[in-house]
Amino acid sequence: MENRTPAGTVTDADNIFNISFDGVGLDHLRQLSLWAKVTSICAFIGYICTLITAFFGHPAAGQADENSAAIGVTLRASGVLGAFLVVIIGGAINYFLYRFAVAVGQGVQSMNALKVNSGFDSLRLYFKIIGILLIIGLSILVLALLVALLATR
Amino acid sequence: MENNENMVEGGAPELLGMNLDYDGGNTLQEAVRWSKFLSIASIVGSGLLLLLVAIAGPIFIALYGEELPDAAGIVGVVVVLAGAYLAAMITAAIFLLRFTSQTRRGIESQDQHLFNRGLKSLKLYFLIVGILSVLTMGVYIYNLFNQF
Repeated sequence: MENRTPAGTVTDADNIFNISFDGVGLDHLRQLSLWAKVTSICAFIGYICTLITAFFGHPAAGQADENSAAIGVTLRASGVLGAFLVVIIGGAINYFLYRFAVAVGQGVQSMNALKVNSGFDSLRLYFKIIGILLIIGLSILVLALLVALLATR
Repeated sequence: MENNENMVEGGAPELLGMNLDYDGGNTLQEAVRWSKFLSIASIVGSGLLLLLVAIAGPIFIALYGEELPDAAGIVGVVVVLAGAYLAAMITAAIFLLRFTSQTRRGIESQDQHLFNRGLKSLKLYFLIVGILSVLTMGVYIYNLFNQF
């Protein structure tokens, strides 16, 4: 009688991994989706502040003469370009983090495993994008070090 | 004998719980692969930066102390805060690594308790990163108001 499966339950044939999101797991999911949401929203606010500072902040160089003004314009332009780059890359990364947080939160609230799965898919993409960017960054760093070493010889 | 950890709150059996299906498990396993790489890279990178701050920090404080005695205290505070920030990043990366190993082992050995511990480690990772994000956002907003 202990092995009799009540009606409406998911059988072991559907649950290949034999792992479920029980009460403890759901509680962890609820809290981690909250903090993931906080992280992504703080990141978006930071990017907005970065853009505003790049566009409207005080210029780095003085404008006493033509050379200083030209340097100031160049610095401002490079600052704006750098800010755009950071916002685009960071925005893409944190968009997936936000999607993960929202999907997992909704999935836990409505006990919808598909939503939680789609949340984990967003988390996978979040980690994957950061990993690929890190590989590119490290490759550029290694190349720059090699070029610097060769140049000093 | 039922595993009590599979009970939902209130002690009711897992009739309405969510199960980790084939797609979810594969997605998690791939996420775990990337998070392992990120956690190791973060630990190494943050560790090297922390070492740099520990070595160069006192030198900066001494240099500023000679040229601008009033600024030495502020530089010291900045160095200590930078060190604390990096130490928090290392801690977060360690929790991410724990999520990686516990979740992977939990799925491979079908261990519910280990899988839950993996989720807890991921929760703690996002908790630390969330707090650091709030503090960083505060710095950005302070910097923004200083511009005008």
